Amino acid sequence: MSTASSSSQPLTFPPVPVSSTLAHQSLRLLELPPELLDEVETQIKNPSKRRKLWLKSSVDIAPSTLAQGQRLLQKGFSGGGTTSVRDAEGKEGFLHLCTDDKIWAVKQVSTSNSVYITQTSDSSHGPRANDKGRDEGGDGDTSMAGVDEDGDEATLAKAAGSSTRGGGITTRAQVRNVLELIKVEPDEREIERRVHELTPLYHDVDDDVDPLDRSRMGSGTRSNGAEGVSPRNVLDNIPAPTRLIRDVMRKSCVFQLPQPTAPKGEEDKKMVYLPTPTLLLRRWKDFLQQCTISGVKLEKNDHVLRGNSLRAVLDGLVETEESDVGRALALNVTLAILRRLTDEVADDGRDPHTCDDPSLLDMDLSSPDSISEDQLVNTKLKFNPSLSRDVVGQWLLSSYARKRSLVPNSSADPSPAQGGLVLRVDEFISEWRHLLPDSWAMNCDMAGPVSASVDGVSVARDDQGVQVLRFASPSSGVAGSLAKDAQAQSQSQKKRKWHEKFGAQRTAPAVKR
Amino acid sequence: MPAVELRTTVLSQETNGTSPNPLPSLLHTPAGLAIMEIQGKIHGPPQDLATEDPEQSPAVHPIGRLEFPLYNPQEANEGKWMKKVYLYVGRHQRLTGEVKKLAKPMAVLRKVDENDLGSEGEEALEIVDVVKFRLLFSARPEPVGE
Repeated sequence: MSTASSSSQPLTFPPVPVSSTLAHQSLRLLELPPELLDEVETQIKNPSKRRKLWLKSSVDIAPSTLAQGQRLLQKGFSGGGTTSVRDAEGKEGFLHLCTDDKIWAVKQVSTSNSVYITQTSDSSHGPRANDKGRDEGGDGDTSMAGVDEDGDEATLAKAAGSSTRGGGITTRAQVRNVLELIKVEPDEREIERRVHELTPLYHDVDDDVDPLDRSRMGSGTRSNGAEGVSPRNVLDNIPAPTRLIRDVMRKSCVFQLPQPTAPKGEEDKKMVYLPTPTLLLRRWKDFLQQCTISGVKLEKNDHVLRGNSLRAVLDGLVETEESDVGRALALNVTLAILRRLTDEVADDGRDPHTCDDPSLLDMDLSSPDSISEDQLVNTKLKFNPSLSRDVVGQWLLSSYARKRSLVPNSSADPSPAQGGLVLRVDEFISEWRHLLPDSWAMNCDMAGPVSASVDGVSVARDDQGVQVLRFASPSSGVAGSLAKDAQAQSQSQKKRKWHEKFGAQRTAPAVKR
Repeated sequence: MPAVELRTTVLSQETNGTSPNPLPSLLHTPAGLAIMEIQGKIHGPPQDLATEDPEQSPAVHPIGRLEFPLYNPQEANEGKWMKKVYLYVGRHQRLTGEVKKLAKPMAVLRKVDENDLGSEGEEALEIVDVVKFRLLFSARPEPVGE
């Protein structure tokens, strides 16, 4: 049997045999926008120790939807190209691809064409395969099928013969859905809301004992038990760029503590907590006092705190605590405050914000054992006096707002008879100044903390013409239905509102900066 | 839910050293993958062939061959040769297509083998390859006689 070639011209490029490999691999196609392509190619050439690309689901925290995003990925890969994957839109949460700085929503788009992923292969055709092919001829005219098969073989043999290279290409997967990426602009307020939802609030006994809160003296709770949340949990459950989540945690003064229930043999697992403004103020006072004791002056050296001084202050703070929990708390909350109020000064041209090396202020290094001596000594932290002043003022204002919200039966318009609930502006400013080094306190002004507050704090004049701070009561406007609320519901509502107030106040400094 | 890490592999490991890429250099990728898109379906041998012959699994079935009739080594990275690509299917059919640059490059993803996962047992995906061109056959098949 002879098959003359219909092409009379010599081929300048040898033919490439094409075959199909059954038992397809599970492969997916993901389109790469230019920024992501740059990041991927950089990662390929210079692999980084830190893992940078993440796929996260944006499902709500409801238990029934927790595994949907995971199932989407599972379904996408379990059966290879032959499995049809349900579209991610609709009931299911969106999948997001997150890098350090950017985030995309992942969308599945069906391909109407047949899309094959091919791979180079050694295309060898043994006689057994040929026999199998011949056996299939039973479905039709036997002699004609046989002729076709022989023809194919001859064609392939001819192609192989004329090729100066070995092998060909074979299909490894058929793709029916392509993953497209839609750029999403992260919403910092939404990220902050999620961080505050996920991170438990730390209550310690001292925090709940308060002159204005005597009725709840016996009901303080610790939330660092089985409900602990790890830093990884927070990062995993918020579809946002990694750096932005970390920045929100830093601005909220999120801190870590070792889990107390961990067995001694195991490595300590770190849990993250949100501090109360009262806790922050107490730690800040202790820090300033320890600076005085250690002879450290924050106002000198262009507000730079050097490693040696920092070491002395931290050691002093830890020594004053009697328990392991107290020592861990003192160290970690203080470090969280320093993360919030300072920037790390770069040495030798090293930029702390972009290099991958861990920095002292990285949250993962907040236990004494993990801070190396060289790293601590070489650290330089530069305080921002105006930022520090405003942040401390906000903590103080939030502390008063929290006390007001925890007092039962509070009214929107306190009368002079309730002198303890009225706060004069000059008294507030005086207390605020005492929380700051002298040179930082010169420009204390109510505009900063009040404008940063979104929970109804305003400056007004009382009957004698004295400026006072007026706090809107959480229950104002619903006084008629207040009596109907159950105690637990009322407490839960107040706590939730406070949580939102506290979180919202921390956004403003970033806007100002 | 835990986040799924998207890793980048050392792509050159995927390439089989004994099997050089037979495609034009423009279509070469580190892992030797390519994207072929056909407006239609390739009717091939029945799927169950694989189960009937376990010794030779995965079964490899010939489809045809690719030809680049206008290929010019002088214009390897662009040029007219990209406008005409032939895909011969079987003995009597030919598809005319072209090499097209993808508007957005495509990453080929696969699930990381469980043995390569760390002790944490987390799920992970990896980028096997980045493909920037595709072979697109959108015209009707033509009859050919050899």
